[in-house]
Amino acid sequence: MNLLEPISMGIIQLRTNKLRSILSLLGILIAVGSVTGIVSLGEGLQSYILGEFDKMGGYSMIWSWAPDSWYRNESGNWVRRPWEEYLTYRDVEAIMAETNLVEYVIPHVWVNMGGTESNMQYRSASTYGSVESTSPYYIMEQNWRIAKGRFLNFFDMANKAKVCVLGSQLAEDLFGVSDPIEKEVKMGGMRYTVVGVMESKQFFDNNYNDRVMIPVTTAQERILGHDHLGYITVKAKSPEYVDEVVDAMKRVYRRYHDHGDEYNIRTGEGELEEINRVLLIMKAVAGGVAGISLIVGGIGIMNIMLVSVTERTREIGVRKALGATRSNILHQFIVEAVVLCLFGGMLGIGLGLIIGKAISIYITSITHMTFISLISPKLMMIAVGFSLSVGLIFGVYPAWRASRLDPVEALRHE
Amino acid sequence: MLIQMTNIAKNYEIGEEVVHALRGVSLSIEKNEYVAIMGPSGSGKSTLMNILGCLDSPSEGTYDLNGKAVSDMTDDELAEVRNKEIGFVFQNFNLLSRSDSLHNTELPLIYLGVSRKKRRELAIASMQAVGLGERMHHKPSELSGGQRQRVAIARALVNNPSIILADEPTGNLDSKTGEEIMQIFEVLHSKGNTVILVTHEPYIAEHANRVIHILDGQVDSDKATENAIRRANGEKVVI
Repeated sequence: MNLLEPISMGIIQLRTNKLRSILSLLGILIAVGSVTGIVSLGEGLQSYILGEFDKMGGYSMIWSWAPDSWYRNESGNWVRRPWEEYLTYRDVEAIMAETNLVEYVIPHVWVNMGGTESNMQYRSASTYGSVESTSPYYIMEQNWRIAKGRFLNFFDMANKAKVCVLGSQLAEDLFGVSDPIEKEVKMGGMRYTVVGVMESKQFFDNNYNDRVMIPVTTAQERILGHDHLGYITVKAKSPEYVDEVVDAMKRVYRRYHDHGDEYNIRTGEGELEEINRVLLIMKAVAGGVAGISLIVGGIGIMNIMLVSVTERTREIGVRKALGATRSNILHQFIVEAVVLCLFGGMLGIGLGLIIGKAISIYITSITHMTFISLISPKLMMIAVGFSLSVGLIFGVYPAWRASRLDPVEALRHE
Repeated sequence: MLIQMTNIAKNYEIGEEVVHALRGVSLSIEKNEYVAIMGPSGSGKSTLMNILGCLDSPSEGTYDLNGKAVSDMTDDELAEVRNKEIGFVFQNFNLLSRSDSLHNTELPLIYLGVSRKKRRELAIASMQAVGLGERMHHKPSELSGGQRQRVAIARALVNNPSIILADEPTGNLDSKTGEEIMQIFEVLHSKGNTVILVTHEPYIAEHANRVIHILDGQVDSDKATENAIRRANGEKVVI
């Protein structure tokens, strides 16, 4: 007996038992469907994040800040450093001078404009903005576009100008439908002229729209009264220059600071590893949860096959009387289980595609992220492989029971 | 000698008790014999039939079928013997209810490993031999009892076995249909087949040439029927 014979026999058997076959493959279908759907969403998410990361120039990015005042010592306790050092604009200029592989360096300073409920006013309207004191390169780094007016420029920087650019939500909160350009908003007791409004942007839970941008020099000299920088963002001209730029930054830090070796430097590559690790864990957890449903589906298959063996005892007896060997019977029932699972698995992939599509459309509609679920040939192979193994694993025992039946007993079975 | 049984015994253990279903049966059957095995229920004739049909192995004694020592065979070897040497016809037909007549008929050929095309040819020929050429694609439920038994006979014939072993083949049929089925066995016998009937109906046993009575697990009597004598005298026998 060749291999095709039990397969065609299995298909005939399953076709003659349509309702039962459908019901039992439903478990596998749902299991494979949910695994496929979830993993395809994960893959879609990953590709989306990596795409965004790439668009932001993430692979060329370096983030750096001064040694934190508190650090964890060898015994794991938090200790305050006896010294304090800061990044300043001198570091920015030195880095630019040290290497020509840098596209831009963006300084950032944290500023507290006061107020917990609101820190910005325009006439009677007030709102809460999160202040970003930075440089003109900021919008390039954030891959964010201007909707109206202009962004901060180098004249603003040089003049420590009292100007600001508003996120779309802030503009709406303060000005409603009227034009904010050239109007003055009040922040921390000073008036800033609105020179531009940004486009609406959302990236996961990063809300861009409640940000207000002012020149870093204005923040340092007019508000804070010192020249410290919170952190800097450095963009290498290309991802392959990142290592060289990091070396240049280290040289600069050592030259200008007593503890230059302890300055923090993070690269996009490192961030990416972190993102990928989180995504992998997420996919594994989701896949694992869905994988449990595969086991449930498999137990369903085993149950049905056991019922089927009992119900078809007589048939097994007849087949044995007509010359079926133990292995013929074993094959027949395993093949039935496998065909059932494979069929369920393939339909499940279809279902998974639909689930993934539906959820991604839903996510797109609520977050405006252009997000699509992805199903790779590899994923499909894995899904098919999984359903095949479920069929094999859960089909073996019932099939073994069938093959062990005594023909005389089986023929007598009512 | 087609069948040679020597001192066959079969014991079953039911709990503590040992039941002696067969207590030393010896018999031989030649090719192209037409034998009926008779006996009341509990006599051991079913056990004898199971052993003859290689569905069961004897506890003691030897059984040679076509020169092969069946009594020493493993399960899979027995399966092969059943497949090649024996054609079963059961009282309750034992057809696969969800398959059509043609598929039922070709079943033994599947286990023999015959190609699909050849299988189909042989099954069709076999069905035509029992007069069912028009009912290839009917399922058992769409056939009358007599037709079902014909399918079963076609299935038994399809491998061209050494023995056709029929266990109460008319037991579930009315007497007219039963007679029709017996006519088919008559024809098969006249074409050179070896037929063994198991029955408790004397008028069915009368069709055979030789009747073996089993009683209490032993051969009680073994003699030629009147029909055999008449056939031997060249008379045409119509029952």
